[in-house]
Amino acid sequence: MVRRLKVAGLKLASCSGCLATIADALLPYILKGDVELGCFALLADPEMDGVYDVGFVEGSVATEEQERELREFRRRVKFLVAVGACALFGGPQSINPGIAKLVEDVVEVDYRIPGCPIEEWQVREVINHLMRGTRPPKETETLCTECRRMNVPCVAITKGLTCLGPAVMAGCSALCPSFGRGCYGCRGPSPGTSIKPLLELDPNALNMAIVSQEKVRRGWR
Amino acid sequence: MEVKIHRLGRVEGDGGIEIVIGPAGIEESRVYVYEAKRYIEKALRGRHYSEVPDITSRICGLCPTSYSVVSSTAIEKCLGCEPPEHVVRLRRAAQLCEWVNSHVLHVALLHAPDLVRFGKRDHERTKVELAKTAYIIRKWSKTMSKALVGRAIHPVNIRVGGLWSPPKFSIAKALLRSFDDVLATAKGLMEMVLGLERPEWPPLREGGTVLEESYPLLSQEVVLMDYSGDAMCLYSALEKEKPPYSNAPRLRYKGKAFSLGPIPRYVRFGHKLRSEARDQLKQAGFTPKSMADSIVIRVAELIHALLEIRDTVAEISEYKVWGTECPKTPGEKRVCFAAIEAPRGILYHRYVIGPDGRVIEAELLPPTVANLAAAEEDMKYIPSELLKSRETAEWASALIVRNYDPCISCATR
Ligand code: SF4
Ligand code: SF4
Repeated sequence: MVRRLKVAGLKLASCSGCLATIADALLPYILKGDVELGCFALLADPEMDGVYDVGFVEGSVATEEQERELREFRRRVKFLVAVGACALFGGPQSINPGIAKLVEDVVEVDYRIPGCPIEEWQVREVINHLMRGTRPPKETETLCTECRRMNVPCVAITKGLTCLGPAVMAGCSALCPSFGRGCYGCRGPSPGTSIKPLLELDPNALNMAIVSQEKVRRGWR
Repeated sequence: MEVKIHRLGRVEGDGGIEIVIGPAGIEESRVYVYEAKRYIEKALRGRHYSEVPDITSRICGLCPTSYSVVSSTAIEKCLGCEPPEHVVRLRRAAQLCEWVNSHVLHVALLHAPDLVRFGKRDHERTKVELAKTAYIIRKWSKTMSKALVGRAIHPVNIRVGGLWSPPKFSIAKALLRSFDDVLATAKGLMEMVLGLERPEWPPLREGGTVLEESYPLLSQEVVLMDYSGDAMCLYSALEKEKPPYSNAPRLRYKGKAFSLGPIPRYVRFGHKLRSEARDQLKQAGFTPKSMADSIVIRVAELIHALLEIRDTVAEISEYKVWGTECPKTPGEKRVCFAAIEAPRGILYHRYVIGPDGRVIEAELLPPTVANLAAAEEDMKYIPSELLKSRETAEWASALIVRNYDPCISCATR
């Protein structure tokens, strides 16, 4: 037996790239009748008017109004998923110091999907689990592991490029290395790894992380 | 009577509408923008120019390729390191994939529901059909973007100087096998859209486009009302004003609001669309009468884009070189600019780059800053019978804003 889910989407300071990815991932479920959209920025009416099984929140918190909305959203959703680099690490706007808070600084988060943008398969994984009443597993794999699995030659070894792969979350199918460039860390730090050894090898490594600096340092220790 | 939509749905970003209706009709109209400022232009200062395309794309999840391509083009032109012809052509194809992605999302899921409502069709069935169409077309064009530039949202294969790597030709060419089905689906969408009852208001608004030989896409020249020439000249003369109720500015030319996007592109250069993209329009005797007809033109542009993508992918094959090297430190200050047709209209970028290659100043003006001013002025054309009830007034004012497919995150950035 699967449960039909009522899904909501909230947008804070962000670009809608994660929400658009969620829209693509959800369309087949909506057409099948397994998912019903509640308040949902971009796709439907964003006004909150009920309670929801799952709530995706994209973006970082940049205004008091957004902080209030996020709290309201939390009260209405059973399972809160923070999506994307903006929500988890501040996103590109946090290149400017002091303008963006993370979602977890304001409310309790049930699950995190890293990415800039997130990948469709990650959304499907969350929905598939929740439909069956189980919890999606926590991701911990690093990009290096993904390169090995995808048979992508290491760009640090073969080309001498700076690549944040050893410290970054996997999940993008090793996209940048597969196009011959180093990872610039858009998916953010992998839990349990540290960027320190990488910085010793290449002091510039952190400069290339676009979602970045202070906020990311917190996750990267 | 005041009619207020606190938060407008089915648009990108966080905004609302307010119209004040008096005895003589609309007295005031405002498009609120609550979207938080992210100060991306400021964040660019001090970064090396090579990082710019990856940062600017994050301004918008619906038109990221436009940002990456126009950033790269502007900087290449002023550093004198433009990539070879086939690379330019390939990036244009990636840009057109974005037209397809963005247009089909807007047409089928955001804009059409406004028009389906008053037609004679079976509403629920039509909406399901539209959603299926969007799914099929977006899946194809997103996969094509993936093959060409890594991904549709925040592409990773675009850099100043060209591309990082050759596109994944095996995936791209394999996708051509399902091209006919996707094209047929797009033509089906055109049938559906031509069958929708479209209001004859607001009237077509004059506007501008990028200027080049082909149907407008990417150039340093633009045309707007009586102006034709260098984009930087025009954009430095445009009036920018930020109303107190909006986090996004408004752009005007000689005090006038103007439109950017599919309507001015088609009105000026519709004859340059591929003839296969115009066939159905001819048969239906279509000429645009109102801004709501933008829905039809978006589908025509989508079909045009699909055909262009197919030909580019079919004709380009293995080349050795996929980019040029640009000087890391230009040695002197440079001013760079270019204008691209993002799905919603001209996106203009200007950068001042220091002798060390770092950005001193960046100015990025997306189409929505012009279109918001246009939408506010269009409100006065709502027919008076629709202003009698709150429900119809809300519907009409929301439609006027959606005609422009506003991208509020871009406008605020
Ligand atoms: S994480 Fe990236 S894709 Fe997602 S909203 Fe933020 S900038 Fe956009
Ligand atoms: S920057 Fe890193 S995490 Fe982001 S797409 Fe590239 S390889 Fe993946």
